Amino acid sequence: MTLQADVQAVQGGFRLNAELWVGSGEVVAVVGPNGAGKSTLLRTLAGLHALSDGSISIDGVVVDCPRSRVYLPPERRPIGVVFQRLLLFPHLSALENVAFGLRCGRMRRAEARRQAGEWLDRVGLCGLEHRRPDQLSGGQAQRVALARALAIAPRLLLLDEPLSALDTGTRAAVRRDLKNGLAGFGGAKVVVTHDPAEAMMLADRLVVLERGRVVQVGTCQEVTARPRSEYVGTFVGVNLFCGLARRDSVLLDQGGVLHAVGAGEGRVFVKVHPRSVTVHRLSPDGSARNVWRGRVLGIDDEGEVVRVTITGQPQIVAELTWPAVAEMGLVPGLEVWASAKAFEVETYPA
Amino acid sequence: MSADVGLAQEPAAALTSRARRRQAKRVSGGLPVVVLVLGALGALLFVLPLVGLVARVPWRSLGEQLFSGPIMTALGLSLVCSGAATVLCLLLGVPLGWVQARTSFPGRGVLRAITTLPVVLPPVVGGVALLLVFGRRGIVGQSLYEYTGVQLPFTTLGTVLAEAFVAMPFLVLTVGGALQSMDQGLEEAARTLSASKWTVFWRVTMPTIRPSLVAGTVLCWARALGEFGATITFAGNFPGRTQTLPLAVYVALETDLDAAITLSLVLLTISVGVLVALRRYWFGGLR
Repeated sequence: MTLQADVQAVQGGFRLNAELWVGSGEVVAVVGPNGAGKSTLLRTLAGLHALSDGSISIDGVVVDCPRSRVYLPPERRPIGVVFQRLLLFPHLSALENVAFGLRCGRMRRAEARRQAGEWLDRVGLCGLEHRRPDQLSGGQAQRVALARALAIAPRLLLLDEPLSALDTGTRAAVRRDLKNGLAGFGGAKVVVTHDPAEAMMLADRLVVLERGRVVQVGTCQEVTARPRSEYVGTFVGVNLFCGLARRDSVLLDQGGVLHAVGAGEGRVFVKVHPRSVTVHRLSPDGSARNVWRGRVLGIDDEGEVVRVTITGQPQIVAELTWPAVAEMGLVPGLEVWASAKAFEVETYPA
Repeated sequence: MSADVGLAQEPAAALTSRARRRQAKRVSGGLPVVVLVLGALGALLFVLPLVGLVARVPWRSLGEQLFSGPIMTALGLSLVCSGAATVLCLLLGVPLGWVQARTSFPGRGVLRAITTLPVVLPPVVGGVALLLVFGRRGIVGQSLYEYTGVQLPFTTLGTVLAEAFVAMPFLVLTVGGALQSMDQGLEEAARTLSASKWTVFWRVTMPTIRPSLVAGTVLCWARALGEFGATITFAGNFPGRTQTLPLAVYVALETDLDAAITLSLVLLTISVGVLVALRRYWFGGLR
């Protein structure tokens, strides 16, 4: 394990209590809603915020452990950080930005500049060495920031919302570049993000943080298959409910009943993929066991598909095509019927 | 022919007068006449003395005056003292601004108020205060003289100290403000790139606040150069030792008006130079 961290930190009135371990070469995405403590977690790993308890070790070296009075400041940790706002030095050229860390490592000027040039080549910025940060596009600046963090050969690379500074148009392309850039780096990688697409594409494993605590850990597939909190449900794009199962029906905490095949007994999570939810203008007389009335609350354009939120018992999101929405004349406030087949309602123990 | 010309000119003349009226309206900006008149009077208050001074400059004998012994002595002393005072201010003022901007401790507000005081304090009061502390019978001055033989009042060193006392707040305020408002994330980024605190200071913080540092230094130097009240009170008025340009102007006014005017012109030129050099820093937001 390259990174082993039991992070207990306090910031203001906020308490963070999270365990995190990352193997070499592995990419772990820390996801969670705003204010969950993602950035604080990253700052403790970087040494920009000291632990109140617990410990952090990188490559077997303890870098922070209040109990044994160990604390290494950021400059003495084998880390590289790509900040949310990138934070390139505005008074230095792209080349000098990348060379900065090498020079701090007492490398000779000429050698540092040569290696920095190689790094810029590697991230595809050949010819832009002498540009200042304000003369670079968002995507180019992002690559300089990555090259700058990787140039000092860290053992742990930390990325804080690495793509949030970019506009949506360039984000997909830069995300691809970033994935390639990360693949070439053998150390441990931690990406903090609130963007599901970013997390799913970049990470091997997800750590979900809510209100300062880890609520779920797993590979992207595991988390997508079995989300264990409302936030994670929304994050992976499914309807998730909590309820009490009795024989094949579940009494939902928020009200309403859903029938599911093999629900078992006791507390369960109920997952319904929006694709499995059907919307009707009139009461349907099909084979679906779950049928209930509701009103259209909102219609969200997701590109190829449309996500229609329907209030009722329970409130649910259905994924439809644009032609279907147009044909039914769905508008907010319209009374509709929702249905879902019992075998498409998935349950697992809470 | 002449009628033609008249006809052709008339619409043009009407147009220009209309345009002129429009232009006048644009200048007045829709302000009441009283405001315009008072504003103009206010501007005259600045313009008239300057014009009056420049008008009385003895241009013919200017070169002769300028390079005469007394003026060159005063100018040289002024440059040396204000330069030394500026170095002293940089050495002590930047760390002071740093401490004020980046640390919090009880009494920080009081400290900030005290270090800002010389900006509004009558300089002569500053001179008296300096004399009480650093004078030969002063709390610090007495032991300083007894143990090292260094005497501050009525010496060139005293001039430097008096100038630094009055000028340093300008540097502290400018640098402190810049340090407080700069993106401290840049310093954190540097530390994650294994830069020591010292390296961060020299290679990230200083370059980032450079415009403010330059402006503060020039402002500080200009204030030191023009210092009068604290200097004459604490350091006296000895030609060649403590008689700086402003003091020389004051003395010359009694005996040699032309010399006073020439000296004033030198100071005015320097002030205008400072203003021009720093116009972007101060008037960047204005056109």
